Amino acid sequence: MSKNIHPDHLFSLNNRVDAKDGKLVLANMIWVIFALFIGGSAGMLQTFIRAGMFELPFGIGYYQLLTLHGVILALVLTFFFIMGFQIASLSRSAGAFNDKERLLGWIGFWMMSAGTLVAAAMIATNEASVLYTFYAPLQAHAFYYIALAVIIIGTWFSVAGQLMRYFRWRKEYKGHKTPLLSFMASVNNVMWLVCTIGVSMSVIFQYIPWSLGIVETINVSLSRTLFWMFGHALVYFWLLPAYMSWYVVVPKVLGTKGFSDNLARMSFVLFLFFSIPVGIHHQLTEPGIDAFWKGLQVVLTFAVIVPSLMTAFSLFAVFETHGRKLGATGILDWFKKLPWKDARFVLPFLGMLFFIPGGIGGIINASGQMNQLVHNTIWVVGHFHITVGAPVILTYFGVMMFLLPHITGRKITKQLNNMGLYLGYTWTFGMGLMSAAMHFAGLRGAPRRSTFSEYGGADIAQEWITYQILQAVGGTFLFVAIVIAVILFIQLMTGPKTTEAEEFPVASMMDQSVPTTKWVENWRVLIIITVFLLLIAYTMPITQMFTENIPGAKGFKLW
Amino acid sequence: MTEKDVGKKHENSETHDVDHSKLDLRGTFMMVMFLGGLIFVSWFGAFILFLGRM
Repeated sequence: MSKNIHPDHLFSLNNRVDAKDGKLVLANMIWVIFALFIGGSAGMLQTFIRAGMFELPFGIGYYQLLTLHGVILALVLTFFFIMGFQIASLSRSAGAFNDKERLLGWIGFWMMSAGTLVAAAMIATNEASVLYTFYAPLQAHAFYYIALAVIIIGTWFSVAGQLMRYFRWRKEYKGHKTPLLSFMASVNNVMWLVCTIGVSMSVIFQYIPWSLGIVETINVSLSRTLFWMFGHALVYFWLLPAYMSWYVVVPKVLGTKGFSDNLARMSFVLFLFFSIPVGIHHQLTEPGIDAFWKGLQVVLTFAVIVPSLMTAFSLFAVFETHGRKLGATGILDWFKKLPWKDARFVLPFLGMLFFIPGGIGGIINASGQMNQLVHNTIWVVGHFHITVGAPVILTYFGVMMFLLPHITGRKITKQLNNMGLYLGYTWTFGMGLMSAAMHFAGLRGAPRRSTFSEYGGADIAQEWITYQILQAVGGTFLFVAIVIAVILFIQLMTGPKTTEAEEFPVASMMDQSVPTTKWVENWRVLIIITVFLLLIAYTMPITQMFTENIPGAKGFKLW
Repeated sequence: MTEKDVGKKHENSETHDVDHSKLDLRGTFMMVMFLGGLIFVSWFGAFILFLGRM
């Protein structure tokens, strides 16, 4: 059945992810588990290498391993998870996909799988040790770029199916506000379509002809600018599914309502507006971009603080309301009333805690002058790990805790719940230790993207060694957490079947019956504003890259 | 009571709105202010470090 769920039955306990959609979701999630193990193992080895405790055998290069780690975790794991979770969210909240929509999901899945395998082959044969950012003029094999393009185009197919599913609900129930979870997935999808246009153009028209030898040189400034137009929005593409869980799933796990439907929608709309026209804050130290445009994009970057703090407020309000309902009367004693033994809550909650220093670090990175303090140091890697590697991944784990048994017709047993808690605590300790050491080493000047070196016995390099060892200890804990995660997820999918599957929790909101602000669901207006902001932020900087006669660069293979 | 009836009862409670103005959100206010303060202090901490290295 691919019927839309009636607006009056959005919160019925009978609503489930459709069985056929579930297979597609599960296929995506199996990639997630595989990617977690491979990418995580590569990460642990890197921390050992950087600490001077391990040397790679068989001629494997440090940058080869680093490329594998970045591509498989930052791109493969996240893309498959997001597609899987969003398909599940739409199926659960709007209704089952029809054959055409599901077919698009499968085409996307197979394209992403094929692209991943080809990219992995290029990395394994040492033809693409250019990291996941693939900055020119480092030049990989053409197949690597083609594979990345196929992965991105694969996501477009999947996203097209999801958007069709959302608009089918909207068309039948014209005048009703759309299910919140479906709306959120659609915002993320629209943001993704807009932000990937630049990087796709760059890969198709710059990197592929250049790596095939059709053109001799590449405009490095342009390629980096188009990459970061996508690259920062990518961070929000990772993050918004976590926010979907925080706004909609977590309140239901607590057994209460979300704070506000209108606030949640507004927050997502602001993320749509301000996620893309901000990429130049990653290029603050680069020549060729006028200071005014850097300044403008820094201001736009800071605009993202608003929906982030709206989210923080909303979550605290949910926690406090829940605690008060259970008898808390003091100012902060409602914290004690939270379900500290439920892994579906503890995993995302630990992620939320990481997001506080993660957000603060982001504000420091995006501040023009202070960026120079941390630029290209391992501080940035630490920041990356306490944003993507903690709030995002821990929330993804929390989602997988209920999603896998929901789809496969199983329940979270007490033992599996406990494993989830151990996973959360081990990951938190490992990531906390590793990323704190990265931040402190970075402030002392330790560079990122570098293998072990004593830098000719320089005194300053001696200061970094303790931090590098701490990173290795943290990396080891993270590997232990990954082993727990893999065993847990396999058990959640293969344990004994039950008559009633685990619930996919979807909360209603305290203002559920209040109509939503009209323009928030006017997609024409939303897309016009998004594109308008993008054009303001990027038209002049990109035009200058064409008109200022920037010399192109030949390709380099330094590995 | 059938599964459908349970679902119906559940839906009714889900669509009953809560008046935001009647919520006790003192703790939320404290936490948001604390978060703002933390951001402020951390930013200036890094800025002072920057000034020291100029």
